[in-house]
Amino acid sequence: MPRATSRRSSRGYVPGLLALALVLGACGAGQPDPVTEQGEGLHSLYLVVFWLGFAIFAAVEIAIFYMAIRFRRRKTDDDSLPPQIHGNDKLEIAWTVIPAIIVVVLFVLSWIQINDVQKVSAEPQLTIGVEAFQWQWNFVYHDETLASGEPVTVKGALPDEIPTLVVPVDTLIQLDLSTEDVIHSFYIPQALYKLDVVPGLDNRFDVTFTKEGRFRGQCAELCGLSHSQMVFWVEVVSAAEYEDWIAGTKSEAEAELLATTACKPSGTKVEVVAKDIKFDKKCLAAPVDSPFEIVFDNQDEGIDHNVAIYTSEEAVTAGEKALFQGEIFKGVDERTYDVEPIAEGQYFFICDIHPTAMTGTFNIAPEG
Amino acid sequence: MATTEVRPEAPATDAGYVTAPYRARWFRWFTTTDHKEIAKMYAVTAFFFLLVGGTLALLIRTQLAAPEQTLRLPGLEVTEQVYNEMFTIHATVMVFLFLTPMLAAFGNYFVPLQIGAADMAFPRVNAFSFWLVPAGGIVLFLSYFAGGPAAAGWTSYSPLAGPQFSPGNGVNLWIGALALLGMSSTLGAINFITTIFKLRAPGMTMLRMPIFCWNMLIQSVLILFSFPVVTAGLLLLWIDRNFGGAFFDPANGGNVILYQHIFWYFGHPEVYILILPLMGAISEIIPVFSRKPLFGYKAFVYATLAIGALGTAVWAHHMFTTGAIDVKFFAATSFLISVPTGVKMFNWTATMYKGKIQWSAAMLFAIGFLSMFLIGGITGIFNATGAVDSALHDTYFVVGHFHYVLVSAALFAMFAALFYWFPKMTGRMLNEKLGIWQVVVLFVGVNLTFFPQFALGLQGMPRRIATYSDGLGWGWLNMLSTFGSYLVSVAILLFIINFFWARKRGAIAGDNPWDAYTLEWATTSPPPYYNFDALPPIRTERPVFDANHPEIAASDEDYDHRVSSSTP
Repeated sequence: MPRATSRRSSRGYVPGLLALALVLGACGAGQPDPVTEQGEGLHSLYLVVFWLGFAIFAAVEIAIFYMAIRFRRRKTDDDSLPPQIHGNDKLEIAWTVIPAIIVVVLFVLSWIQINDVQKVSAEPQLTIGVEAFQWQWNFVYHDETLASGEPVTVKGALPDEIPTLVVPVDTLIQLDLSTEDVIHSFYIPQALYKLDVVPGLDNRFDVTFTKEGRFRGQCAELCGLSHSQMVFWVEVVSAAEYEDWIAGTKSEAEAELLATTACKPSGTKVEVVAKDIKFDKKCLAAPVDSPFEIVFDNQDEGIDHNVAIYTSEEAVTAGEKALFQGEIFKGVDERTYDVEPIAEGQYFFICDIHPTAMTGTFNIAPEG
Repeated sequence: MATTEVRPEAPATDAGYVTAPYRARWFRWFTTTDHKEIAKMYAVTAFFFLLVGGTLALLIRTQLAAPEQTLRLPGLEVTEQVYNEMFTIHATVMVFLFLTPMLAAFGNYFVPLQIGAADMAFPRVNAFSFWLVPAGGIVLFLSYFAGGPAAAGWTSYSPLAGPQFSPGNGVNLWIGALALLGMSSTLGAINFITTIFKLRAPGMTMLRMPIFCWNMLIQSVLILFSFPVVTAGLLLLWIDRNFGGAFFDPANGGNVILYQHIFWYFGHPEVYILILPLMGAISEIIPVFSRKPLFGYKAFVYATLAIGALGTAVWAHHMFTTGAIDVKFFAATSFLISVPTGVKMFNWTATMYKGKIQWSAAMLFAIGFLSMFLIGGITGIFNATGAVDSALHDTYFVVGHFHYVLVSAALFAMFAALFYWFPKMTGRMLNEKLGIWQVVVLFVGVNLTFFPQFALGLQGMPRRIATYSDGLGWGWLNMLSTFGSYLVSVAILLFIINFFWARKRGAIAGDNPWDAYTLEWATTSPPPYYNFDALPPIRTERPVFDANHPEIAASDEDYDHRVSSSTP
């Protein structure tokens, strides 16, 4: 089926390809600038593969189109057959051996990089636990503990709490990946690296950020419904800023803890308010071995509330008897309950009418 | 021309055993064991599922066209759940219900014809293999009416696909469908291997066999190696899901990495299972339209064997980022497999050298295949390093890479084969002009669809995400990709129009419209029930060419050597 077509010079491809190469080369051949020490090595290997691949691509693509155009059947051709060439053993050997040498070189270069990124230091300067779950991340700073002994933790939650992993620059950090549910993958595009978070596997990797800034990360392994929302941020800061951040986060966490579970008693009068089916406090405290009173202000008009103390949350669900049960009454009103002494320990208080919505910790502890 | 009588006693009338037994037309389709009719049913089924999988692809691309959107169509809201279901079913359909049966169609029609046989070795098994395909399709799509389909990806990694995180029937029916489709492929592979080893015509030695048949042979061996393994793995997943097996549940001593090993031990050979027959078809088409023999026939045979052997030893490059495998070993094997693949590429290109290339639609599709497969192959080098892959794995770079192989290259090769063989299968020619338009639209379409995906992947867009934030700069590249996918569907529509046009009005083909080389062109178009009245002598890999151009053999100094060196 001969077809007359306008003659296009196959040499036209060369400047076109060169222009494309320049555009690509100008922007790191498409890959973002690495922000980690390990990423720099990976990027340099990427560039080698890219330019080698580009050269082979250009050469073969030009050969294909050159052959297809140069040796096309023309209108003026007769029906005679072209020379029947069956092959050439020397060429076969050449185009087997030369690519083989190229891939051996590439393999050696890869070997070096693989060793580099797989290196796991026995003594990293900082170890951070990365806990993946459906569908967010927690970052656990094992080296920084609160007064309670708990490590400093940044928690993520759907839909809006996107966690930020704050790390100091130029520090050898080891990220220790763990998950209890499905497989996830911890991926920071600008680190040019990812490692899967696999239940049952102790996956960890070393990373040293060399640039300060805010970088995006995301789960890269399909992990169910909201896989696409498993986004996190990495904030690389100076060592001093990191110390400030840790101190700030610690005091915030301590304050939060104080307000929720670690409050201390001050006097024998405990005040609590109920409004909009909520207690105003998550933690109440009273002195040990002494009677005390609870001043309960029910501000919900026409709604029954009370305050009752149980040994634990489980005791409520198990239907155990309360240690103390205040009178149930409608708002707006106020009652003062007198409570017998209770032994030292951490207890649980609820409103018996709203046992899931209105709960808190009740600490009985020595005063001061 | 000298001929070998294959059925000297065949009666001249239609009354003898050599004609198809008469049955009502609709009934015949359900009972036929003729390899050509089975092949047509495979092809139509596969094309139907191409449209199903393609529709899903268009929905996926439309959902991703702009950041932070939820596509809403009448009766369909693409929520996260729906999105996860769509890409799971899209991949399953394209791999198991489109490409695999389409290749089975080509193999079924042309392996017996190319080796001079009257049918496949086991015609009834062949029919059974085919009917398992619609059965598998029905089981897969039943899940839409049984609580929703699988949504754990076509890989169905455990524990995500396990009982705790994918409750319901979706994954169970997915496993059932794959078991049926795997059985179809396995039985088909046994049939092809037996046919090729036992039913070759006198003179058709292994080294005179068309490269397409060689590729079908190696593909079948790969199927035998891989499908039973994955079927066993899926059975374990089934037991995990339904009977508390805990094979892949780390909480009870199971191992989630084991599942990945089993899956990819099948999954990577599967890629070669899907591309080898198409490489075979290309190896038939390029020589015929270059009017030359294939450059380096034996090199092709060795390269195909090498790809088959290495193809079973690269699987864990899909698991480079798990932290649980020997990255270097699998980087080495993955690099090595590029060598025989390169050999094929160079030989195809060299076949065109000094030829008289007819720019027929089939040939232009074949050139498109070379061009696209090259991009798919070179981007594979990035992943093979194991190191660079830690950035690229599970991003759109990988999506672009395998779609260049399994969509861009595969579609070009498939249409090349359809344009080349359609005259033989129907007796009529497809419209060449429309075909060339299709080449252009498809070329622009696939490159627009998949090239931006490399850039997206490099910038860090993970695969399988239902949407992405605004302000990442991914929007316009995704929009380009989506626009490209619409062009691809226009190209496929052009083929459908061409198909129906050609069935009624296509030019009458005759026995050998391309002056082609292999035995399928030594009979009528379409061939009779028993395939051949007579065969030409088979002295080289081009028996029909030798018969039609005796002057070439006479003037070829090397002819006798080539004949004797291909005799066992």
